Formats: sequence, structure tokens, C-alpha cells
Amino acid sequence: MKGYIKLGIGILGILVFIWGIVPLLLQEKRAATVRTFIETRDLDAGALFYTDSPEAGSSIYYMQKNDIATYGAE
Amino acid sequence: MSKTSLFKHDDYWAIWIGAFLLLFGLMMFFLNPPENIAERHKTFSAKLAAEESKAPFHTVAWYTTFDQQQKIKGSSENIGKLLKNLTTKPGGWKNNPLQSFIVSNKQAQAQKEKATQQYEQAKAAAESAKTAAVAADQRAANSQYKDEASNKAAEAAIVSWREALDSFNASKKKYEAKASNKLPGLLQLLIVLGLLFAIASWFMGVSLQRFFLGFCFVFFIGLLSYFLAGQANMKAIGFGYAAWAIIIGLLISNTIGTPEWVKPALSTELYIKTGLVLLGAEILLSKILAIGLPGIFVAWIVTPIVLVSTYWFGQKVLKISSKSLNITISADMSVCGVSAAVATAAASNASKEELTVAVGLSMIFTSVMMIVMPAVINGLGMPEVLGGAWIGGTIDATGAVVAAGAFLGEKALNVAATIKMIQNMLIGLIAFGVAVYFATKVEKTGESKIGWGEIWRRFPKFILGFIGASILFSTIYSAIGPDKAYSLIDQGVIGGFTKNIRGWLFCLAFVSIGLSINFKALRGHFIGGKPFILYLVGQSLNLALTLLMAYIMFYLVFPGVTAQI
Repeated sequence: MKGYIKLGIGILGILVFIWGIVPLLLQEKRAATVRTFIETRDLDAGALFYTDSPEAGSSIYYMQKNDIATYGAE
Repeated sequence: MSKTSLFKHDDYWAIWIGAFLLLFGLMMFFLNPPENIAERHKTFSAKLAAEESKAPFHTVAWYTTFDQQQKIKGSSENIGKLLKNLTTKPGGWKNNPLQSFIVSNKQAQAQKEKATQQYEQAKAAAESAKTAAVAADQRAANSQYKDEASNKAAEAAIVSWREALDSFNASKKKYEAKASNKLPGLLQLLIVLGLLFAIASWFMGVSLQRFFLGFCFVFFIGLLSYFLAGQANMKAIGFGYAAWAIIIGLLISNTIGTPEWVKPALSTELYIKTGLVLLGAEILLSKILAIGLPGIFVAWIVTPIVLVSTYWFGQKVLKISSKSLNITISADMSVCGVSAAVATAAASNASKEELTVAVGLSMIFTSVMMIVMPAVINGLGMPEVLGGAWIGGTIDATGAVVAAGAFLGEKALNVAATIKMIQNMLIGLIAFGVAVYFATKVEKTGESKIGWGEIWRRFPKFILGFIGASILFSTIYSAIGPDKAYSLIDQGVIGGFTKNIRGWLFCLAFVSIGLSINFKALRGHFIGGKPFILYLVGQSLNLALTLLMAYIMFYLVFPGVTAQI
């Protein structure tokens, strides 16, 4: 029984984190700007590796196609 | 090495399963390539080259061609769609949790109506920006791109058009919402992965039935982790599935306890090692030779220096008792966060608790740095390219790097993503180096000299699968060239298939970790706050050295490259 109460408190903690703490922290001006930007562009800031992010894939392909930036006039 | 040992150890099974999935993916995508792939790439590349030789900047026509070429993807073909559906994960959602799994026709229509206004506005903005960009481009062309002022004006108009186009594409995605049901795909994935790992576990002495039953539970918690990570607030702060998998697992194991029938499926090592063999295929060494020369210096000089210095600081100053914890945190912080932590932990035989500490630190610092760094860079008035290089070299996870880089601008995003990718490539080398170092030095107990046989016994064999996958895919990449490789490997075998499975395997591994450790053991690692201090000191050094090296490379050694990005 005690275990289930602890589990319930834990689940409550998760809910408070998602819909309470994080939205509150995102109210901060700078964080809110970044959040709005991410939402507008529909970016997934949780991607772990470069292959997990379509935006990173597109940027890297752009750099690959960009011959001047690759080896330059140097 | 006996024949039976090849089927009795999770290191070898990770190689067999990983190899099977990679070869299956290669076969599927290479036997079903996009129509006329070679000709289309040839035509587009020739057009890009012609445009590039015409102007000192990328013209509107260059970008339009580039966008068309980017659409040649293996994952857009029928086979790609089928495999994507088979390796799906719960989708994003904001207020209605069910939408993560099922979107009805009515909901899709409602979403479309809600997004219409934003879509129309973004469309109009993108069209007007394009008209302005075309006009400015034409003015520059009239002077044969010799008038500096016209060139600058055209370049600025094109940048504005690209930004407007990005916003338009994002709003288009919401506007074109379609009815979907992810449940059949998820059920298929449960069966396929469950059977694959049940067979491996059966060879290692676990009953097929008992494994599969437990696997259903582990998979369900993994599903829940992806579901929570897909919530809009969590996506915005980069709080991903890895953290949720550990948190939910820990919550269950430390409250009601992990059910006995689940334990046969808690094969953390097997999931992690198989995921790492698949990750090996994403380390495309030939790719880094083709891009970002200054980035190679920034990522490949600073990262090893920070890694070794942080490890030394942990051993000599903080006197962290566990070398595997020290190296896991050091690699996690200096290379690329969770993926590097997983690879280094597996290579150094770190405990589950140690990996959890490293992943937790990375998640917290990534969320904070993703928001603070763009603000600092803007506040200091730092140039975009320098800011992008700084972000790419210091923030751990790619998603956060992309978000922070894009916030600064298109150039910063391109530089940041490239540097992060070059840094990602170091994982293979570091995992191999750590495995050799731990097998020959750290685990040496008293003997003055150990033989090759003993080194081989201690060496984590799955690393060979990891390196082998990297060599195989890098070779194929070089052989077919970067364009075809983009369509068939980046946006085919990897992007459309194996990286999704790799994500699931890491997720299942983190669920298993959470379900098999307790808070007391975890708390012990935080005594004295040493891991936190180690991360903080290492990251401070990383921030300073990366900024210095980025400045030297992008502004002193390769200023011409910087000007052309």
C-alpha cells in the first residue's frame, strides 16, 4: 500500500513538472522567446545525435553542397 | 574462442542483431532507390555548380535547386514509408494526450482550421520575401554581380526569404495535418523487437515466453517515455525520452518494486550494445572529410583536450573513486551528451547508476545552456558564425544545438550543426580508446604485464561491431558519393530505419536501468557533489577553449571560409 502511495506522489510530481514547473520557468522572458521560436519552427530540441534531427541533416547537407565553405579560397 | 561463446554472450549478440538490421536496411533501400536517382542528382548538382560560379553568394535559383535536390530521399519511397511506419514512435502533442497516438479525421480537420490563419500569413510572408529576394538577386545580376552594394542587398534579401520559408514550412506541416493511427505500427514494432531479442536471450539461457512477457512491460514504459518527451513543453526544453525512461523506471522500482516477471527482459547491456552497433553506422568518417575544415579543428582539437583534462581533474583533484564514472561524465560533457555517455559507459564497464548520473547531468545542463547561450551571444553582439561554432562545440545534444543555433540565424545553425556532427564522429574513436585503456590499464590488478589473451578477454567485443559498422557505411558512403549517399544512407537506411530502432533500443536500455537500480545506490554517487563539480569545471573549460579555438579558426586561419558561409 505504502508503495502505491509513493507511486501516486511520484506521478503527481511528474504532472506538476510538465504542467506546472516547466511552463512557469518558460514564462521567463528569454526562455519564452526561445520557446516561441522552437514552437514556430516545430523543432525537436530533444534530438540526441545529429542523425536524429532533420534540421541538422539539412544544414549539414547544405554545408556539403557549399563548395566554397568547404575548402575556401584559402 | 569456442563456437558456443559466439552465441552465449550479449557482446556477440549485439553484433549479430546489429549486423542483421543494418544489412536488411541496406538491402531494402539500395534495391528500391528513388527513380532516376543518379541522373536527377547529376542535373541538380550541375545546376548548383553553374549558379555557384555565377555569383559570390547563393542565388535564389541556387536555393530553389538545393531544396529540390534535398527531396530525393529513400525514406520518401514506398519502402521507406513502410519501414518508417514499422519503427514509429508516439508523436508530439500539446493538450490532448491521445493525439500522440491517434489523430482522427475530425481532429485533423480541426487542427487544419486552427492552423489556417497562421499558414496563410506565413505563406504570404514567404511569397513576398521571395519576390523581394528575386528582385534583389536580379539587380545584382544586372551588374554581373560586380556591384558590392547590390550583392549585399541581394544576400540580405535571400536570408530573409529563407527565414520566412522556414516558418512557412513549419506552419505547412500543421496545416497539412492528416488523420493517423500509430498503434498498429507500434504493435508490429513490439512483436518484431520482442522476437528478435527473445531469440537472443533464449540462446543465453532465458525462456522465450518469460522474456517476451517482460519485454511487453519494458516496451510499454518506453512508449510512455516517448509519449512524455513528445509533450510540447518537454520538446521545447529538450527533455527527451532518455530522462523519462530512467525517471519512470526509477519511480516503479523504488515504490511498488519491479515485478519479478519483468526482470528476464531487463537486458540493459544487450539493448545498449545493439544500439551502439547501429550507432556505428551513423559515424560516417568519410563525411567529415567533405565538410567544414575549420569545424574539424574546433571539434577535434578542443574535445580531446577537454576530455583528458576533465578526467585528470576528476582523478587528481576531486579524487573520484570510480574511474568509469569519471570517464563517462567527462566524455558525456566534452563530446555529445547522452550518446557519448552510453558508448563510454559500455566501453568502460560503468555501472547503471554511473550512467544514470552522467545522463542526468547532461539533460539538466543541456536544457539550461540551450536557453542561456543564445541570450549571452546576442547580448555580447558576437558574430553569427562564431556564436554557432561556440554552441556546436559546447552544448551536448544535437536537438538543443539546432534550436540554439537556429535562434541566432541560418549561418549559426549551419555552423553549429556541422561542428556537432564532426564532434559526434569522435564517439567511435573515444569508445575504442576508452575500451583499450580500461582493458589494459584500469582493470590491471597487480600483474606487471598482461598478455594479449587477457586483453582480448577483457575487451568489450561489441566495439568491433561498432567500428565495423562505421567502416562499412563510411566505405559505401565514399563509393557512391555524397549525393547518392544523402538519399540512400542519410535519408534512407539510417534516417528512415536504423536510427529509429537505435532510439528505441537506447530507450529500452534506459527503462531497464531505471527498473533495476534504487535511489540509495544512486544517491551514493552524489555525495560531496563531485559529479556536479566535475561537469561544471569541465564544461567551463570547454566553453573557454571552444570559443578561443573557434575565433582562431574562423577569423584568423580561415577568414575566407567564414565570409562565404
